Amino acid sequence: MKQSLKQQVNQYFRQVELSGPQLTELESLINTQTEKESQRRGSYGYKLVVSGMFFVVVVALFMMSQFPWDASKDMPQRIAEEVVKNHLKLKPLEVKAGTINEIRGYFSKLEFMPVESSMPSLNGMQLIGGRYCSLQGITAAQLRMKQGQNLQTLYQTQYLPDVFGYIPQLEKGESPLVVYARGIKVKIWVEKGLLFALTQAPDVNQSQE
Amino acid sequence: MKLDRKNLQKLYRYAYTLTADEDDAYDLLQSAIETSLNKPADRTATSTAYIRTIMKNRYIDEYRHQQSFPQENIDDHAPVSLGESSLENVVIASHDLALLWKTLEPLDREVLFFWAVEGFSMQEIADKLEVSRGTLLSRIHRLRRRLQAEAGVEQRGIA
Repeated sequence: MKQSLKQQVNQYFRQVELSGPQLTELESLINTQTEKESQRRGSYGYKLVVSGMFFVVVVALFMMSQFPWDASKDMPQRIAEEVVKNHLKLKPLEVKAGTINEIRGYFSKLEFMPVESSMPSLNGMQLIGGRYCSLQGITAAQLRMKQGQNLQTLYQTQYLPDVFGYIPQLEKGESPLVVYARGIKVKIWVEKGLLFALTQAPDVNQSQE
Repeated sequence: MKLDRKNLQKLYRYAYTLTADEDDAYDLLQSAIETSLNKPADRTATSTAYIRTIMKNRYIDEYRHQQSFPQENIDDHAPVSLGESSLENVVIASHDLALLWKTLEPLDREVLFFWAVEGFSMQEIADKLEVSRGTLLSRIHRLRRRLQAEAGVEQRGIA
């Protein structure tokens, strides 16, 4: 049935809505961040206004001591969730490249330079291309690696401790974090000043022994 | 402004206006919210207008990498015989709109969204899109021609 364009566009948009789980996920994201922010601002305000009061100092110290722990508590899990979500989507590559130099040529708008990692897990993986992406809101390079018949995703972005919290550093001899998201193993580490996240999805073509 | 469910739905619809794809719209919205929440606290950080701006900029950035974001040369002084009411008289079938929607330019989808869903005037839409009113009317004129050609829209109520 024909109706006015305005009515039709309105009706069309009434069907476009976030599902319940999507709303819950976004609300959870917002609540986590705003709680941290209110804690930070709360402690600052108290210090200014009633810095002489002992109990406020105690509260402020408590909040300040809690904040760094809380900020990075679930960050690795959130990184893994985001990486795996995009890994499973397998969005089209923006550039096909077999070497890191070709990749660098394409990712000229990043605020960092993609590098090769010395992580042993990458042995036997062949770079096939990449696309611009973001990780926790920070611009990132999403690289696709071929491992036999299997595809893996490697994220690289600048390591910002304020955003990502503390992540083990390869140069210090620390082992990468291993986090599972949606059944897929993700290794997260820092190397050469960059944060790396690598999926290690099982090879679906490999027969079980 | 509190990001309650109503505002989230509005932002999602705007994201869908840009992407014309539900999954991409969700990704765009989620990443814009993350960006806004990672900014140092101020009053704009969680406002819907701010998040809209992030989404639009990010969408344009993505397009720059995938394909050119439509940058059409529209002559501000092109003859425009239709006024603000030119879209008001258009009638269309719902299935025609659904078929046509994804093929429209993102800017055309924004115009329709701001006009039909948000209820903005043409001047307000022009301000939002940072184009002159003449440019916007030229765009609407072409949009209307395209609707007529591809979806067989009709004009009503004009004696």
